[in-house]
Amino acid sequence: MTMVQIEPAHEQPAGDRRRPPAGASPARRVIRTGFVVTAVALVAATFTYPLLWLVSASLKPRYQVFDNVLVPREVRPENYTSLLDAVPFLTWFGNSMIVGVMAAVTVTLSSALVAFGFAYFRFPGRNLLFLLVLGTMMLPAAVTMIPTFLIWQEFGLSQTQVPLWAHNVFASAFYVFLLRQFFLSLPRDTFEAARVDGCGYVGLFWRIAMPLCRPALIVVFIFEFRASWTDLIRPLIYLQDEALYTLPRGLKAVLDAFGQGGEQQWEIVMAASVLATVPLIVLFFCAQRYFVEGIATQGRKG
Amino acid sequence: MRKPMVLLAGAAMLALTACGGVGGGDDSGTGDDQSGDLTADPSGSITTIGFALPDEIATVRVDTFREMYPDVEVNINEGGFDEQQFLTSVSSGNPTELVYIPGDQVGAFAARGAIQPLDECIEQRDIDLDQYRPNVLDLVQYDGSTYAIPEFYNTPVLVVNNTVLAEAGLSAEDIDISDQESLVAAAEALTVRNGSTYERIGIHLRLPDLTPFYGVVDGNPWVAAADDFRLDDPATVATMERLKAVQDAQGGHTALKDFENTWDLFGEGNPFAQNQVGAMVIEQWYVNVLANTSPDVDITVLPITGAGGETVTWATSNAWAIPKDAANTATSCEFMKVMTAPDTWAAAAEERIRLRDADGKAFTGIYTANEAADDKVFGELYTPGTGENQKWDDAVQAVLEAQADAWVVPANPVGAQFKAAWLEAANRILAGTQDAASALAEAQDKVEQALADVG
Amino acid sequence: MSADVSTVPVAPPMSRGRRWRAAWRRPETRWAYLFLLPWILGFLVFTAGPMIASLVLSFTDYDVINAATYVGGENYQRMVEDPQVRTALFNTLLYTVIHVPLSIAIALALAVLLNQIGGRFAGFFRTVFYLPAMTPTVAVGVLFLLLLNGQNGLVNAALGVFGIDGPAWTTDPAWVRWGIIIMSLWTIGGTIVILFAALKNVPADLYEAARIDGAGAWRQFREVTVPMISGSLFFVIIVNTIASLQMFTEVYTMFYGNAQSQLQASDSALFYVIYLFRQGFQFLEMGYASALAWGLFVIVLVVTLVQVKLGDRFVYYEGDDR
Repeated sequence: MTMVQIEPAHEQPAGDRRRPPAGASPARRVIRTGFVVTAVALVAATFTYPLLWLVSASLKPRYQVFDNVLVPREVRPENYTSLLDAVPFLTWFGNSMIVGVMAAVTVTLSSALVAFGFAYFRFPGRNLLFLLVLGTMMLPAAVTMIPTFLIWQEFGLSQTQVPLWAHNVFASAFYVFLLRQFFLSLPRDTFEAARVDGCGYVGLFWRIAMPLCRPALIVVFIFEFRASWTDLIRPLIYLQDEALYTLPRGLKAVLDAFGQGGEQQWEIVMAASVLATVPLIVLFFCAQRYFVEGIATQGRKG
Repeated sequence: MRKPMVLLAGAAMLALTACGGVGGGDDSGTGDDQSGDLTADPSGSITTIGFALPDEIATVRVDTFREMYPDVEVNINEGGFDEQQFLTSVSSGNPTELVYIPGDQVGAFAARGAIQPLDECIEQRDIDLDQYRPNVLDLVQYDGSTYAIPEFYNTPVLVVNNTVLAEAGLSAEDIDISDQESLVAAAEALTVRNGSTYERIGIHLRLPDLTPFYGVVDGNPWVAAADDFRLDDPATVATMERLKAVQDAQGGHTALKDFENTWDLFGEGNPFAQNQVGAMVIEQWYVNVLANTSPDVDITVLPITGAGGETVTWATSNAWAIPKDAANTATSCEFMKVMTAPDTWAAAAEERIRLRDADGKAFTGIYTANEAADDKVFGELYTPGTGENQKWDDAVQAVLEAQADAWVVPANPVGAQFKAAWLEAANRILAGTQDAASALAEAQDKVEQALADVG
Repeated sequence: MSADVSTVPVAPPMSRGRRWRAAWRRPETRWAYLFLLPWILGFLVFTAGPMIASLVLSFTDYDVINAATYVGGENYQRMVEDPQVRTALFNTLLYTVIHVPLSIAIALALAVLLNQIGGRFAGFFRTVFYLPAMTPTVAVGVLFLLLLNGQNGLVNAALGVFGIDGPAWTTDPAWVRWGIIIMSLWTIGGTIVILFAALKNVPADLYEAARIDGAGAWRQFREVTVPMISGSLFFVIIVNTIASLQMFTEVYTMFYGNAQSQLQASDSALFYVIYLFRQGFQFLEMGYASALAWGLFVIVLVVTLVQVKLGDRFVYYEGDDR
């Protein structure tokens, strides 16, 4: 079971392991590469176009949203101000930030703790427990959705933001799996040397293992932040008070109030979509190095 | 290391307390909390869901309540009614104080205990039920109790675009919704397409939203009583088949729906201003929208008539209700009373008149479930438009004529399932994926199954 | 697992049982369980407990507002007879069967092309392909509701360029599912990135050797590329399948979010988890929804196990001599 392994993240120079196809003259090779680049560029344009369309639609007057013209004939930045006047978008943004950070911090720390337990120690029941961890990855969230709701209700927390992240205190199977692979790749001698120097297990984890796997921790953090940022089903279940909404829930409220449920002001809905998307794109560019490598290593076998 | 250790300790405590509580779900809080203090002075805070503040008619009324009770904090969570949001909040035992729901679902929510009976509230706070239109009361009364207080009174009318009709050599009188042959001919003649792209819908019947209304037009309402649904009636099948024929004559329902989805129905680029429609069946509130956004459009508004030339109407309404286990019921009760009182409606109408006058636009009335309020508005405040605005007065008279004696869906415990069933059948029939008879038979089965489940 | 990796001095040979008991007494074991405590607690409280609770609930009629009553296997019987379950299952499986192979084929093709380009360009395009995956799923749903409009949507406008008269993707029950599949292809960036990374790891000398054997491009792809990235392929197939079977957010946003949006889609957009969610949290049929959840669990389990079994046959692991 070595499908997933994280390596210290760094861009690998793409060219160094490949060689151009032999048996082709340089001229043909250039033509061929040009052809491939053009094809990929066309597909890339197709992928980007809807995002540009989204931004463009958010700046159009209501009756031009569907005109499929990329540069708005009339630019209406006031779409954004009317959105911000009508709904507490900044509050939702703040809520998403808080929930996202809580979810990501707790899951990163707890998963690392558990992963280290599995990776470093030899103890009875280890294989069985790890098999259980893997098994829970296959469990659809829907199975536990209703009883979990009842549990939070029992605590009187079913209408707060706590259920959106609190389960992350208990680690998440996928990240445990990911981080365990990483810890296993660390040379065991490092730990043994520290042990000889009188370092305790807690010290091994916190002072040696954690710093060494910072890239992997960042990947886990970003993954979970993104998952939390786009989650709709939990906010639908737990958040009924507008002041507590996260962005996806708020976006749905905007759709209900301005879109189909309201006066079909799609330009406002599009503006809200743009505002909900931008922070993630910014995060993506800031952490791109780790992010792309992190995703790539999800599927790489060691 | 300190942090994970704290987390560990927290986790352990949470787990220990959780084990005692799985599978709970308490039954505390019955209707009892409603009695006793219902006469108390409004205080504290109330929050509503399902209601929005799109215009002065909404804001003035909320402000009226706020002025009467400045100490009460009123939070309006704006947005259309979301059944999932509402029921989940009820099930978490901590619902909002008030909910604004579609009238045809009151019976269903009452039957399952999601909303409280208001009889005591009505009695203790002196809400005069006689002022409401009796047919709307049918909508909100279930099993001998009143469960909701209705607000608007919505009835479909025919809005004709004279510019478009004149181009085709037709006049408003040529559009007869009950006469299939002329309807299909007019629809076909008025529709304009460029290849497969629409430029204009001939006659927009607003399907599937208004589908059951055409059962009323054809003299065959789909619900005869709270437990008597007639979706598989041959007359219902005939209605659906003729609706499909009208849509097909204009190029097919799904394409029409797609075209409709691109409209700016409420804005300056509305389908009448842009001549995207020849005639439209739509509720009377749209006349108010047009009078405001496109005062210069050339339209004629007509009541809709049945085969015998008689006016036929279907009324819907939205209504205020108090969720089960809601707090602060005395204040909520007072809020419902104030929101729907004749004086409040009149204050809202006055504000609208002021705004429209300022713009030189016509005031086209407000249409509520409170007959006393409507009497007040049309008796004391409304003045017929003159000159350019004469046509809007004609429209108002047509709306008032259309409102008489409207049919409503009798309050029933399976309102949601009924709607889901006819909607599904209508979508399939109109799109041509299933024939009318079998789709409606399936729909009828679903409703009867739901009725049986309710018991 | 043997004792020699332990940090404790190697003990003299003991019987199995005694070794076990001795292992439990070691401080290392206690420390290990301390580290594992968060997960163990979480497993008990948020996985095992709820699983049992949901199994119990699935034999009851429970709407949260009123007390639960035991109804035996009624919910499961209803599930088998419910035509909407059949519709939802059909839609979900159809979506999975089409989305998974199609998205992976397209992602693989793009990854291969990226690999051909190499260098900075590849990095740039990889970023571009990944951008849509950063769009919040609710926004994706809203956006495609407009893009897929049959009359003036961007998708049909694009098809129109090629002289194709596109269908009504969001209103025609016959086409709604295909519209959803189109939408799902927009967010395959993650899969592209994974497969691209796997391709970069294929040693170039393997292609060299294949070429010397006279293998053409297609044979190289089949005999070198596919086996060498089979681990990653297997991973994305499993992950995408599980995710597809649980499709929710985009479709819920488009067709089930409010009373108005429910007017047009009809059952052709009904996915299994959407039906389950509505039964549980809209109609408050918590018992029935729990039964539906267990139904989904069984389906996911069976599908995944079948895939793992099949995967064992074709996945090539380095150092494997099978």
